[in-house]
Amino acid sequence: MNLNKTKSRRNFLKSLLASSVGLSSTGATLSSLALMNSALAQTSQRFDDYKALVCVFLHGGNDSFNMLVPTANSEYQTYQSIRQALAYQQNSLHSISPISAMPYELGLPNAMSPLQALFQQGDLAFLANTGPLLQPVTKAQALQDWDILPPQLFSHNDQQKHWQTAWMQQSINTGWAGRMADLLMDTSNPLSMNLSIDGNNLLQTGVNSLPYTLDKSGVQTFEALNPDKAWNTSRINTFQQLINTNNNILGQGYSAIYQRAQSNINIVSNAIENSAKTTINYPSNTLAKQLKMVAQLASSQQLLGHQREVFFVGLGGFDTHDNQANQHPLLLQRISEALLAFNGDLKERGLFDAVTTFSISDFGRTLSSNGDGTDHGWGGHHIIMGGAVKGGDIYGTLPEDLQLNSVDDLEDGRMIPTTSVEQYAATLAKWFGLTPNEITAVFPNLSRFAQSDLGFMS
Amino acid sequence: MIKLTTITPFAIIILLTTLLIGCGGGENTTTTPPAPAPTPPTPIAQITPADAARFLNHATFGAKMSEINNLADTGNVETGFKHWIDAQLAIPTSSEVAYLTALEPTLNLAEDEQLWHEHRVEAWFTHALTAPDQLRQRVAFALSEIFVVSDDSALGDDTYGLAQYYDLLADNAFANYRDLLENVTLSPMMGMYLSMLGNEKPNEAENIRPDENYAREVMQLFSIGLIELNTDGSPKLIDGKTIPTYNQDIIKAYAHVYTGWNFNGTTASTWWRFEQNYNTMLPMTAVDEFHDKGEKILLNNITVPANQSAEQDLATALDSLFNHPNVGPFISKQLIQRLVTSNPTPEYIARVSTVFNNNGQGVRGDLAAVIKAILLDDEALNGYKNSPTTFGKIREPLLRATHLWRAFDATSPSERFQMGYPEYFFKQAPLSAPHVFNFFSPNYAPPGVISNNHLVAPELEITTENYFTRTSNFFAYSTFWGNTDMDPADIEDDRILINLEQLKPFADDTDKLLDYLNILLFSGSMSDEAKNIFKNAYQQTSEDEVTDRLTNLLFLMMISPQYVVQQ
Repeated sequence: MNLNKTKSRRNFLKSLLASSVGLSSTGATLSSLALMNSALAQTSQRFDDYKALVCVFLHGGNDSFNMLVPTANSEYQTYQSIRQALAYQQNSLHSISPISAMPYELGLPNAMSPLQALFQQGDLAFLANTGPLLQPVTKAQALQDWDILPPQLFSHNDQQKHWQTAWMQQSINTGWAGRMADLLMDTSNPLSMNLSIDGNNLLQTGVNSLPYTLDKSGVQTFEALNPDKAWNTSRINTFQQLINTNNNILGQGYSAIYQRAQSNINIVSNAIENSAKTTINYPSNTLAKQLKMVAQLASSQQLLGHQREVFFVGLGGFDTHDNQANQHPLLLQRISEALLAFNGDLKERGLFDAVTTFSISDFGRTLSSNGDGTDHGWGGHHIIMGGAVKGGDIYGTLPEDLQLNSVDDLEDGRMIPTTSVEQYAATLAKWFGLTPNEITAVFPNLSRFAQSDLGFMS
Repeated sequence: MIKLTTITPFAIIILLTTLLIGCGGGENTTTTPPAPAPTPPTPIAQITPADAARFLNHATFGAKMSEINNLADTGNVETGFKHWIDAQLAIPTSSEVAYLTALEPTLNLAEDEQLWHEHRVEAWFTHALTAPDQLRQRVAFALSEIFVVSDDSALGDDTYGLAQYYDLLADNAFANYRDLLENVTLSPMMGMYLSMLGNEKPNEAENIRPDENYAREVMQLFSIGLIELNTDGSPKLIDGKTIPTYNQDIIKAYAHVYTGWNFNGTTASTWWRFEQNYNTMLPMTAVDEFHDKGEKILLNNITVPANQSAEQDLATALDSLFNHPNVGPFISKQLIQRLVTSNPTPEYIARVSTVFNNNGQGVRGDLAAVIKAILLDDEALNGYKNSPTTFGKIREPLLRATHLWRAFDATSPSERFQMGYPEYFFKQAPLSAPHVFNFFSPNYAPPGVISNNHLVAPELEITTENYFTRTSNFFAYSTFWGNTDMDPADIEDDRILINLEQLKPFADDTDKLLDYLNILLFSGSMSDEAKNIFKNAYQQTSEDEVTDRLTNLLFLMMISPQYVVQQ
């Protein structure tokens, strides 16, 4: 790609960006989140219903242009010619009929057949060609000035970061679910409203809030520091003294993890023990097991004391640089079977309308092949599921076609996103109950994009 | 199973008003009542036991008292540590492949069974706990967290291939970085992990272009990083903005360079026969028919002329990475973080980078000189007292386990160190990261006190609440229920057991015991507050069996923030 830049143009655009969105207000916005929380009623007083968001992180960059595939002859030919050995057979695709008019007919690969039914019955929607953007860009603009694009595009950890911050400036170290928690959390509840079954993550990290992390099998209880056993009492007291007198800053960070673990273990394990057992038969893949735990936790939200919760789960293996034709269908099958079981479980628990599940991933992948796999791309399609989702439809804008060097193709089939991460996340945040002012505070760049609500939530 | 120590409740007395100043010497001959510790050593002083312990915790899998005493007798700080390093440099690699090769016939495996993750973990622990080439193995472990290959991938079946890769890192731990980079690049395990193996020249008719995976990650993670750096590791700035080291065009150019490589012995006619060619014991070989012969423009406009062989192209490409000014600060800082401290000062990074750039004899990339510079730097030796609130690193859980077992002469009834699956307790196991970005990022800054102070603590990225609990439980199992005083009838054959004999002679002399453990586990840096807390806790158990008293104390120490921060 031609990355020659003219300095004058770069400076012009930089000043344009600064003036239109007020980059200088970044610091004020961050510190104002906590103030807004104290000024507003906290979730326990504010909401009389329960809602949860479930983020499914597809680690490595999902090749989602092999998830929604053109089915009609002409468009299929285009798809087939660009994807070559990675293309699905035309007659193996499962057609879907979106409510809105699409530029071409689409189908799902056989591995995703469980989701075809969910889509058709309105439980699930897709969001097309979404990715990190600093502002809307055309191909001509993107080729002309790298500086108007988010930093370090196509790098795994940077694009993962962009998806989680929904705020593409280089120095941001909070995620949008963390910033939502800064606004909404009950400061009297020791347990975070952000619960992760997939380890530490930036999405759920706020200025004042952190995720509480447990395992797909539940919460690990302490042995020799278990406060329920009388013989541990003096040992725990001693350990608490050690925690309190440590003055190395790294040690204080370590100590804070102990405090969170110790103060939440009983709350969470009690909630899990008292949740109803599901009759749904989940598949054995790791994503399914994580979602099964999410359903248990969501059903015991009263014991956890939360009106609002965000869950983080994940599935790895999507960085399919090679062996993609064998590996990727297996991954799509895992997602599909896991979501199908989760869907049934939530319905059985009467939680389907209250829980919205959505996918994110590092990036889509190149439409062109490297022989037996694909490389790091940019825009990609995503899955949104739940009773509050206006399902059976595809939102955002599909690329006109999948030709190489089309207006949507930056190069080699790296698709330029037509919808931004902020728009996707803000639509979910609005449903979650954030006010317009709060949405502006959590997504400072949202006003750069025409639509702040993509319309996929009812 | 032995039940947990029962301890009667006691009034908490914290002797905050009797703080002793200048703790740091910690002679193990101190008797009650405790005398003020000797004043800290000056840089050219004799090596104290505390100095020796600190140095060994940087350079090995954990200090043990016999080695502390040996090193403390060897002279002053200037020469004693240097001699130790020089001796270590000469010790050949303890090979994981050799370990597994010797192990396999003893296991009577069925025909459809093969060596697995747990056997490689066993090889790793055996070397960490007992191998003479401690520094080499310790640096290899650090390198394995930079040049990441993982069995948490399609490579998981190939235990010998993974062991061979680990041996490669150990063999090159003191070599030139340029050779390390080439050997890593040509490793078939890395070739499969980052898909350079089988990468072929463009085929425009089929829209096939070279695989960009290795081209990208070798720059982002193994050599130069994403942005241009000064020698002290700080980013270069223009108009306040960082400068990317490369763009997509550069990645594509390198992707074209890295075409035409496959398993050793592959030919043009066998290129597609993966199973037949499969060989993870020997480096990849080039097959020119699959190599792109075009001209390529690399970093800093270095040009690879057209019509070169795959080997010639590779040499130019690796030279272009090797000679990039970022490599010194980028690699040096990460090695400092793995061995010594998470937040080295820019001056420390600059001193080590300078040695990377030139070892004093005009050689660039001399890793032995770099390791020496890291371990002998004033900041490594004296950071604990000059910057006590920020110096040091969170000990990785794996290294806490090796330290416990080394310090207390661990044995097993099976006479093997079968740790099994450390990832259950630690979220880490050797060569088992979830992806090429390692278990944790070198830039991870947990929110709260650490990020508020603009510090990083990479190892805390895997220390979630859940793994905090599991790791602390591991130390409960490995102390209370993992010692040689237990009834052999209660012990499974494969348990790894600590031996408490070295502590028993002064088990009734609390001050002497604490002074001893202060050296052995804390490198003499235990604060007086902490010492008093441990002392009270220990004295409250005076009615209990000595084994229970000692294991209770060791458990508390091994999970205490004072210990977990390695200073």
